[in-house]
Amino acid sequence: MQSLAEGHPEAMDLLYDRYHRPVFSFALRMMGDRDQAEELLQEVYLRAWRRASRFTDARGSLISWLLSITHNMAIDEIRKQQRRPQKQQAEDQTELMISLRADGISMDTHAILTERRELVRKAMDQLPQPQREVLELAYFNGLTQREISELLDTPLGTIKTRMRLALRKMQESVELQSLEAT
Amino acid sequence: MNDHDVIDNLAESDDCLFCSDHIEEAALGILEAEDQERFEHHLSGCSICRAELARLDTAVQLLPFAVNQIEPDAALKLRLHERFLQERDAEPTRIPSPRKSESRIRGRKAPSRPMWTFGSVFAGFCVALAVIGLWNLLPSNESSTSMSGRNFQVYAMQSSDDQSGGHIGADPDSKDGTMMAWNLDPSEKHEIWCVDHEDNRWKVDDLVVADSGSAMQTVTFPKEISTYKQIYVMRNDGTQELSVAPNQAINGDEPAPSESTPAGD
Ligand SMILES: [Zn+2]
Repeated sequence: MQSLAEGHPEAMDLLYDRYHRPVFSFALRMMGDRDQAEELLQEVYLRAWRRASRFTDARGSLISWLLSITHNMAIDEIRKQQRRPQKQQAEDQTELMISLRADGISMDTHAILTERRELVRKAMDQLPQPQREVLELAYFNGLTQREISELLDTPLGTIKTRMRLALRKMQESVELQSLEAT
Repeated sequence: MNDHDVIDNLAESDDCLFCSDHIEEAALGILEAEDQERFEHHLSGCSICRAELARLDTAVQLLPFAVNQIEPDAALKLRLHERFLQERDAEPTRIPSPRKSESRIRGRKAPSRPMWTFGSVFAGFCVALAVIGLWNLLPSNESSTSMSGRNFQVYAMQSSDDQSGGHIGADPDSKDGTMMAWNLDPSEKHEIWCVDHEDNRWKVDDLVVADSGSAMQTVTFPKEISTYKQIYVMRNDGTQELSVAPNQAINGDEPAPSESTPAGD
């Protein structure tokens, strides 16, 4: 990251080679449009370069850092566009999806991605559908609780409860799986 | 405990309740703007709420990994590379001199859509375009435009065997470009050649191919890129691996026209 902070293009290329696919996939999931996802990815990498000197391992892994920049920038953009995707959109996106392949990224990165993906999918699979839906609309579509309440025509209190339960269950499941793994 | 402490503690527990009520939204990054300030202010002084948020963050940070993995357009790397170089070079002089900024703007095609700020150099230009409503009149194909301040084009190179692939990113009126290629045989030597309309040929450079079979490098051509009938990559066995006719195929998503005559024969 020091090399990136100093502006070496090879460092940027390396960062791209390693993590472009999870960053792009996440950006696409959030923006729902390939062009916008590609634009977002570029902005994320440029922001990462500008903030590279602030990144420390202590604050989490590099990929998590990039993904959290992606999330913040996507939410900003969604709010700026006042774009409120309908519920159907998330389901439509599955048509674009292909399975995880190992080519193009190093095996280390691939292993990390696979491991985390299994961890989070197991946790999400354990959620009842209404809780999972609220979690996805909030995190991936950037909807506030109030907006979710309107979209699903469900009382705000119910949405709050579902979101709270969903996150607590996720957290417990992740902690439990991590314990089992050790 | 005096009255003042009691009031302070009440205020704190009130804020803790507020925080606890909004902590899931904060963890998911969807806190409403009007709650943001109060939440952050309390968090900065309350280790209990901070710890709670950190616990939720552990789970939230895993959510992006649930998404199925999709590969972006191969030209994206090149576009990012080019843009990074432009923005990096603009960085030390954040406020460019009027003359420099004017010359950059004159040659610029303009981004296909206004999304984020593209750096201070072009911010004024972007705002001006947005204000006068010109965005809709501009080309929408991102492959043939850039945020970099020049008339940046991505030329898709046609592969002779459908295995390899490549792009050249360049301003056609410039001699400099960036070539990116993939799925090349790293055990072979590769050279970059160009042919002008009088059939003069130049070897421009060796193409350095990494063990992964990918290559990316800056290339300086003898003349402006638009003056060439063909630019190609040749292997040392004489096979033409990749080619493009830059004056015809100014579109990153379209393959180069097939009538571009193979060079070297
Ligand atoms: Zn508190």
